[in-house]
Amino acid sequence: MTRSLPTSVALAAGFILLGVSSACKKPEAVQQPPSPPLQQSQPQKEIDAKAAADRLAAETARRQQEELEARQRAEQAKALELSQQQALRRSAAEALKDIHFDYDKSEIKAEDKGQLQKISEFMKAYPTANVEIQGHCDERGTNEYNLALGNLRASTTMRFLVALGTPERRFTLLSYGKEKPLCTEGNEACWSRNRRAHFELK
Amino acid sequence: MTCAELDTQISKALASLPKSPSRARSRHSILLAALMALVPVVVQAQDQAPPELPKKRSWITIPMTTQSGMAGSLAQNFWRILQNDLATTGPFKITQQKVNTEIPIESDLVLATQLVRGLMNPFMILVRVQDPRTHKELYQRFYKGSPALIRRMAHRIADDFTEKATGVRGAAESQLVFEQETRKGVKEIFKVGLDGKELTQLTHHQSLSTSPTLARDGRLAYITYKGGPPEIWGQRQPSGPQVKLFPTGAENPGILLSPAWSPIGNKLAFVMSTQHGRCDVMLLDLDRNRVDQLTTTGRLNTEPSWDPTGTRLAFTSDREGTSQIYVMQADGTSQQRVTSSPTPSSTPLWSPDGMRIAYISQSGARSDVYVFDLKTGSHAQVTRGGGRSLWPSWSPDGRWIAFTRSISGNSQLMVSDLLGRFTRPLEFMAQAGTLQWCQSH
Repeated sequence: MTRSLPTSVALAAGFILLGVSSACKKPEAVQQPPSPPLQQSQPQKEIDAKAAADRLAAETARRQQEELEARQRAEQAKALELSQQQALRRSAAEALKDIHFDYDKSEIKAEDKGQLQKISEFMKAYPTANVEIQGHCDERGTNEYNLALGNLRASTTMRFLVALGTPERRFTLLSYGKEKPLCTEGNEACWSRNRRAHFELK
Repeated sequence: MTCAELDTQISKALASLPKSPSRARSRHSILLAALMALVPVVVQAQDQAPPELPKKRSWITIPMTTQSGMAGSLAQNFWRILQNDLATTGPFKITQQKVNTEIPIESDLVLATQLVRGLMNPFMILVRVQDPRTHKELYQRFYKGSPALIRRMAHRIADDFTEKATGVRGAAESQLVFEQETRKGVKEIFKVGLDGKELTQLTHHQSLSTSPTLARDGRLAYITYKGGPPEIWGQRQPSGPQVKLFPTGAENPGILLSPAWSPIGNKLAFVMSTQHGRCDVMLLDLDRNRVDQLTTTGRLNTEPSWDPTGTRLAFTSDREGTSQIYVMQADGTSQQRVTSSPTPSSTPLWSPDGMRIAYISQSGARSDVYVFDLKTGSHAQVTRGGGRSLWPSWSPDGRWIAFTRSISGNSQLMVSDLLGRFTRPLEFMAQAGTLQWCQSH
């Protein structure tokens, strides 16, 4: 019962539609302008109309298929890009680790050269990645002095990376001075954490 | 009341004071007494004069009379401000003294003040200063004003008196120019009187504006980040509009720090990143519209400070390892080191008399203010007692040094004499940044 009811409704609707269209055709035929001299026969006309409708349907289907494929391609590309981005971010998180400085100094320490090597390899593996190098200082000294020192640390770090083969244009420098400490205790353990160059993917 | 009548009254007031016995010549004294204010007070000078100034132990007597009918509270208020000014900005200390008791043995100056209001309603304060030993009047002066200006009048009277008594004008009228965060990420420049009154906002960029410097004629300059990269803004004329002074083109200077007006205000020293992260002291000549690089060695050359004649600059440099204080001629020649501590020294500030350079020296968690004496070559420690003292600034009279002391994250603006024996907080300011202590404008 539940299935047959819609079917009968649809049939009824179709019948009504047929009735309406045939009722409409008569006045159309009457109102047609005088036929051209080389008038096609009525059956030929119907064949052409059907062919046109078929072509239209095929065209529509093709277009829909194309759109679907384009969408799929875009989604695939997006997924790929996402996975590439994820990979980039994963690699960045692994490679872009802070390096540290001695008090009031900006020289690269021997123990951090391996770390900068890793960053250099990361920059080569991801040639479109750009990195901001931030220079930070501990809380001692004035803001003015530490802004200058942070800038020097960021710049020294960049020059080391440029020497390892990454073009300078892929880096931007920013000095935070002592404005963004990782910790605020007044002892050497905390100060040495804050005297750093931090790398941020841009 | 005519001036003659007033004079008679003041003379009586002075005569009614007990005579001070003679005493050693090297000692001065000043006594404060208020005839109508009922609570006479003795001002005792502290032995806190800077090394080269004559050491004074001064007691000042101030008998203060008010015309009958004058508001007693007004007189009290005036007298309280004057007493506080003398105590905090001059080499004086206040102690209470009962009416008609002996003038302390050290007394040598009597400062008499009287509030006067005539029929036509001019409001005046008459000040007379007398040496009680010789009864010789040192000076007499009328100050015109109004009850609303009582605070400013007291500051002016205190500074004039300090100048007469010591030879160096007092700092009661001076002002502090400083940067302050108005909301997160926004700093503006303000000025305020040394008494914490008359706070005025000087910049309105709604951006990061820092490192104010004031020329002698009151023109302001500072660093602002309102356009993104740092720029130096300031006034080309006194009371003129604030305009961009540097850079002149659209270039991004990277790091731009510590602008400092030359004493006559035609040049600005400042710090800019030059190459490879270096910072150098630069000189902008506003008359000739030209910029010169004054330092070329070391990597960090920062924090320039002018000597009062405008011929030399002190600055911080790391050219010999740790950061130390150097001086040079204003054209960049004759660069010489003046500190040689094993720990870093920075932030030099040349004293107003040109004889000394205050600076910061660091040792472990501490940093303290020191004063280098250019004549003797000696270094004296000013701050003690722990914490970090940064951003030294001289009072315009050179008697005091303001600095920000930070102890376990709490900052407080302090004022100390040069020997660090008298240190007091300026309660209204928890400053932690560049500050300039200047004459009022």
